[in-house]
Amino acid sequence: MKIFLIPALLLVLVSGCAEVKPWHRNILAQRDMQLVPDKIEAYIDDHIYFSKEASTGGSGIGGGGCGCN
Amino acid sequence: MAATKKNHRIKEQLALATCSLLSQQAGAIESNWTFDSSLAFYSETDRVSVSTGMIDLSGTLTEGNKIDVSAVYDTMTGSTPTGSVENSTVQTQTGVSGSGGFDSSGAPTSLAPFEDTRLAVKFNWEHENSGRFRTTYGGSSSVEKDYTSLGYSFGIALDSSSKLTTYEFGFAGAFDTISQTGGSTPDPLGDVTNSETYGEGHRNSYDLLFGITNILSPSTLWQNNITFSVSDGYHTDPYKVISVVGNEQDRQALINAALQDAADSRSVNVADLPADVVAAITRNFDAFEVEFTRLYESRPDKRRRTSWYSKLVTRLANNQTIHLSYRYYTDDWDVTSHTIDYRHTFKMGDDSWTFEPQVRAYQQSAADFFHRSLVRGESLPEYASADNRLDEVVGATVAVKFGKQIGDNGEVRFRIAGIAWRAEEAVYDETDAILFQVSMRLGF
Repeated sequence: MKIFLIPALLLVLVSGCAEVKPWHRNILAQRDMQLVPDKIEAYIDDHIYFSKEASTGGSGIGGGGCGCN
Repeated sequence: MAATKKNHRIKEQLALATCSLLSQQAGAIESNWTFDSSLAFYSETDRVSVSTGMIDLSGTLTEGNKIDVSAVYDTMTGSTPTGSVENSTVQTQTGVSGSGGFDSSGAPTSLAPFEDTRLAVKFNWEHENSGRFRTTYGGSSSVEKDYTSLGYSFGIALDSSSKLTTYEFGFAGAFDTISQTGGSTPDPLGDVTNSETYGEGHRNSYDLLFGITNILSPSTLWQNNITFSVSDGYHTDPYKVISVVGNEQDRQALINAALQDAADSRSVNVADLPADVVAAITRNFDAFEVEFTRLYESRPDKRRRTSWYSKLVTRLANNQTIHLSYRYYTDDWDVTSHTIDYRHTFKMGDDSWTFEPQVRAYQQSAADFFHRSLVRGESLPEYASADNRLDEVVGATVAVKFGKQIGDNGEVRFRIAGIAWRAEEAVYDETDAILFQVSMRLGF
């Protein structure tokens, strides 16, 4: 369970480091830069992996389940 | 002092002007409403085939209120591993999902044919409470012949004052009903030839998510989520079975019978058989695995899952974008997994063409109640499953996607993926699949 300390430590290290003004965010607003740029692809992929692997989730919560696993 | 104030005012005005300019740019690219659709065909070698159609509509309903509605319809057919070994003395086979459940006709098999359909719908509403605070409300439903699920979700997102960090909290619940087709569930570890049956199984699941997304630079984002999940109720797969195979005495009895046959054919005593003949006959039974009894599997009625998901999105030179994610997962069934996903997006020509290769690597440990089979004469464990998905598994995906922008607000995407899984001990330890997908997005 110590592995869950890693994200906390990394976040402490990077917080406050950035200096990004609103007029610097044009790249961040583009579709390719979204955390999930292709929702349909992500949904279908998640469904395949959910039906074939023992682990699931992580990127988000909620959504219809499946009797396949 | 006055000069500083003036500079500050100019800075604010510039920020305001830039923000409105950016939102107009985003509007031109994204438009207000987006309709996305996809057809996908997934096929495993000699196993399951799934055809999928999916539509998604998202957009701004009124100022500060965005909705996202999607529907997916799957048609599934083919055959799937039951969990039993290949050699059997049991004259019963188990049908699976949607096929009508039990079928006592035909020879024993470790694969069972099935066909089913699935309709799933999902709804999400995001409400902007203030410039920095948003709430989301979601609902979902999924229906198959032998499975229904109803789910809801609630989330809040809070931006820091600099808007460089977004804190997220989410809660989701799901209520599932599981059975064989016809509405029954078998007795866990009951003999498939003579098992009691019960009513539908019910399972309630609850997820809790804590997330932080940081803007590290004008071209880099970093997301971190910790998710806790709890599920209580029926976790067993009502179609999966596990074989009880012969033990060492059974193996020895078969070897002795084979030696006796060899001796009879030579008109000699077993003790007088040549050593190389005895060794060859004995070797034939090295991988002795004959099913004497077939039981329904049994899984614990609780599961606690925890995962850490970390994703980095960054823009490189030449308009290339990288999506790199890692997930660590662990649960109280003793399954621990690592998943790495890498996607690299290239823009080509006048940026209207997209080429995106992807690789994904996956590794999981086995559940503590996974057994390839049980052994005759040994006491039964409380829980046992031979489901190859609960075995130690490694998996790999290689995919490419091509996208072409159509007009100002449309895009067509083609994707092909090859996926392979390898299990350690399961009877069916290899699964190879291919996925074709064509999608079309339209903004209006």
